[in-house]
Amino acid sequence: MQEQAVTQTTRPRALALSEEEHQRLQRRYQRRRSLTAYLFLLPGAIFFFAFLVIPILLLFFYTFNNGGIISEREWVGLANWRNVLRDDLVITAIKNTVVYCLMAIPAVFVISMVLALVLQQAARGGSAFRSLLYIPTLAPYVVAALLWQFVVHRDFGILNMILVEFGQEPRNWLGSPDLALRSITMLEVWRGVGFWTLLFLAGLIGLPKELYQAAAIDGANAWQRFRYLTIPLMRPTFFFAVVMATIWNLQLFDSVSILTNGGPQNSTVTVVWYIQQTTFAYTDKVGFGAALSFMLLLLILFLALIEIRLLRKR
Amino acid sequence: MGRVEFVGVGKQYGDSGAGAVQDVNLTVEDGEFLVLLGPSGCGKSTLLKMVAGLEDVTSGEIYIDDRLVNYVKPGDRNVAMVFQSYALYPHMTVRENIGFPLKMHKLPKAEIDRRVTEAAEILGLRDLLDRRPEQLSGGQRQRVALGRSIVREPAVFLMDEPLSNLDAQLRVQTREEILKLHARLGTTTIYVTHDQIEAMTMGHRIVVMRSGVVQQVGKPQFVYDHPANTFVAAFLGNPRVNLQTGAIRLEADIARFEQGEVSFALGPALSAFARSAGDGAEVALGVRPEDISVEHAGSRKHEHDALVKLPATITLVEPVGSDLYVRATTGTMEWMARTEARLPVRTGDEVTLMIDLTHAHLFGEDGMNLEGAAG
Amino acid sequence: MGAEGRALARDPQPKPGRFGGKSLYTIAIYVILIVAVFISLLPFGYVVSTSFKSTMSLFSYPPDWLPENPTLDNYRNLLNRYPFWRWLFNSFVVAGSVTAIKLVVDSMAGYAFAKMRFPGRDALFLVVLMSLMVPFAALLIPTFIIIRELGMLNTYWGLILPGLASPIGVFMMRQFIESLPSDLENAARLDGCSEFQIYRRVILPLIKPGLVVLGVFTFMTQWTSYLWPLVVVTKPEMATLTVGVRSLTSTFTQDWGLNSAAAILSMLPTILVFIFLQRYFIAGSIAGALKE
Ligand SMILES: Nc1ncnc2c1ncn2[C@@H]1O[C@H](COP(=O)(O)OP(=O)(O)O)[C@@H](O)[C@H]1O
Ligand SMILES: [Mg+2]
Repeated sequence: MQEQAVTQTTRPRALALSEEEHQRLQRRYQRRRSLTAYLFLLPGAIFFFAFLVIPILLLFFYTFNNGGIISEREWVGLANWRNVLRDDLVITAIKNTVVYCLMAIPAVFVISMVLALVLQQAARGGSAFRSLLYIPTLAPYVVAALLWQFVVHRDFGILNMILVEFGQEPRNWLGSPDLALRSITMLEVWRGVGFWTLLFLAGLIGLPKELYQAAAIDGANAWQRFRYLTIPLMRPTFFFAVVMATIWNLQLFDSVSILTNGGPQNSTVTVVWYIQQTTFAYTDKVGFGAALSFMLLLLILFLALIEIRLLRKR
Repeated sequence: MGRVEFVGVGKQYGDSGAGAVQDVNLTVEDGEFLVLLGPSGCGKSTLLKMVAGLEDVTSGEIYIDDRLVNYVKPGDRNVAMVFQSYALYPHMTVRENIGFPLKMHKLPKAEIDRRVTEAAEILGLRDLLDRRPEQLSGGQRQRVALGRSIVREPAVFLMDEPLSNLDAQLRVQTREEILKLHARLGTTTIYVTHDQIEAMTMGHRIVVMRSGVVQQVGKPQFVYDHPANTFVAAFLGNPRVNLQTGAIRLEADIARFEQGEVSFALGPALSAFARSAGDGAEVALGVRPEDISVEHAGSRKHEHDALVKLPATITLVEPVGSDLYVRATTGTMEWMARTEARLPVRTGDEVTLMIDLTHAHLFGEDGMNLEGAAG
Repeated sequence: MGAEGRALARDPQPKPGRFGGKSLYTIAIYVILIVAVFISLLPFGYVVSTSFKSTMSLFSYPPDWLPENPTLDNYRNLLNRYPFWRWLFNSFVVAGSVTAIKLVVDSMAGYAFAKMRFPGRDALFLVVLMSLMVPFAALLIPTFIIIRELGMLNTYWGLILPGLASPIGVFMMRQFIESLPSDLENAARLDGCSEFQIYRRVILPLIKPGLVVLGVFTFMTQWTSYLWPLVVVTKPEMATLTVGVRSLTSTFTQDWGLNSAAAILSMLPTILVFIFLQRYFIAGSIAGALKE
């Protein structure tokens, strides 16, 4: 049934302004509003362009040049890219970085998730434990590295004291090529647990309580609730965590630079360490470093996008 | 002053789809209390927000006191709004909340204090001035929201379902307070609600909307008595109006209404409208439940030519205290009657329904009241 | 689940086995937490103790936990022989400035993205999301060249500016502000606020928890930042704490006591700040900031 207004269908008066006039005024009104929005974005945009967009463009430009920091810049075409792809240490660096991520991220996530669940269960003192667990994350790497030397030092480190206590040979945690990257991983996990625990705990606290009550009434046991409620519901948090952890961990530098400086026998050379070395330490291979940087950029974008794809789908 | 005029006002969200509000033409007189009534999603809030300037007008013009306001910033329109959620600033005390619009309009401190005190006095908030919104009950928050809008002494008040978050008792009380406030200040008010009781009791005039289209504008009782179409008839009144679809059979001096086996004369007034529809026309007959009663020993005997008696079977009896709702069927017709409480009837009883057609309506195939078409 | 456990424990007629299970469970929880905290803090204990040891007693074996003759020599050394106060000051200037500027800039942008309508909003926000994936380390070279061209090597601005580009704060602020009811800003709009006044008087006070989270996060990131200061600073007096403390270790000698004292002193301010503000770090505020 078609229904219409029956009263007041006649206009109290005709439109005062023409269609065009309205459009003009409307545009002006909206333009002023958009302008305000752009003004709010402007300060951020300036920094964003000056220190993110322009650097990316500049970086791309420098991959085709050499010099520029100490010596004069000169155009070399694709030479840097060729060198990067042929350089053995680049392969090692990428391999070490990826291996490190594969060890560190799962480890830190599992430990943090367990601690977050445990913290959520703790009726008393939860916030105190939470703060204490966060303290390692507050340590700058120079400090963390120092702390870690007390842990892994060959002569008086805690780890070796424990090993000796159990009748084992003390090990050279940072000095042997087999162990160095693992020691670095341990440090990173130790330092990262506080942050991720806090993040996961925040996610857990945000979950709807009613669902858990309903599930408990339906007779789901703790494991089932974890498996069928917590895990799926935490997906957005995990999603964010996995992507960000990948982006951050692929940039491993500080602890390596301070503790092992890439050694022994290049076993802890990472991509960012290599970039820093080629450009700022002993050579002036700016173009090489730029090409390597750009590869890192692409690698991270690539991996992050793959993760987003995979995690979104399911 | 506060005259609001809508000229062909329409609103469309996004680029496609039907307009959330379509071609509204309406004048709200200075000092009037106008109620926008309609089901949820019909565009009431959208219309109100366009007056406030919180949404852009897609087509048409809105005037406040003869000033075109389509392109005037919300803060410069001299209107105040009370939101359903109250929208009190959680980080400010009651005093700061009420005084905030004055502060933003750069009134002198002393004047702000004077007006805030006055508003608090009127609304009984004097003892709460230093509390924060979280320390107030729902009703108190609502009054603070009212206070924030009255201190500005705006030309127009806009209220978007201001009572719907209150419990039933507070709602009645606050309703009265708003009316008193209006009587005292005389400020033009546009009040949005989906509650017909609020609309009937508060509005000088009501505007019934549906799917963005104004269905009818008028005094509450007039709209109730003369609904423009089946939608308005059904939306106002509780229990709902009885709508029976059937055909018109014209006879020499009278018209009959026919549905299946059942057929009855329509009385002189309705017959006139029926005649305009023509013999065999498909119509809907609308009878309010209070115009139907169940015949019993104490029934008033006075018969008249608009009274129809139908045998019926009772299918449901609902006592609501003051009244008794009785549902009964005759052939394929189902009727809801609102009769005296304590009437001794039960489900399954065979009774006679007395249907008074004096205030009944006939709606044409397009749903429009034939009364409008004839008159 | 914790609440349910407590409710069960309060059950007037607890099943004996179940009740015992619950206590074991509680004990297990605290054991795990204590072990975790122990592992987290053990190295700190070592450092604290070392910072009070004299050079002589440093290398006793097995090392003792409590220094036999506690001494403040290391701290005295650090403060007298090195520009430690200067490093601390530099770090405060840099981390404080980045934090203050970012809080303003990011909350403004976040407000525009969350609540304003303007052409290109969604496209621009997508750019922000994409740029979350850009590693700062990869931009080291061009950033260095830009800062050098601006003549800002060895200056505070050189340390501060690159830290302002990170878009994560914009993202966080937008999520926070979006969760505020629109009625509030609409009410403010009708009360006569300009957009800036809405931002200043309504939005900012209401996202305080979010600002604290972003503030602490930014401050900590800057406070612990090492790579960029290492590259941009060559003059000792412009070194930040991280670079300065690192410079205490020469290639040949490692003064453990001195390093430990420096470690303690450089962490103290952040630990205090964190403990003071930590209650904001939960209550769903991070969850609110991070949900998609
Ligand atoms: N911001 C918006 N964007 C898109 N559609 C909207 C928006 N606000 C309201 N609508 C749509 O417009 C119609 C009218 O909404 P509204 O004015 O809020 O109705 P009411 O207040 O009568 O319940 C609804 O169909 C609603 O879905
Ligand atoms: Mg509404």
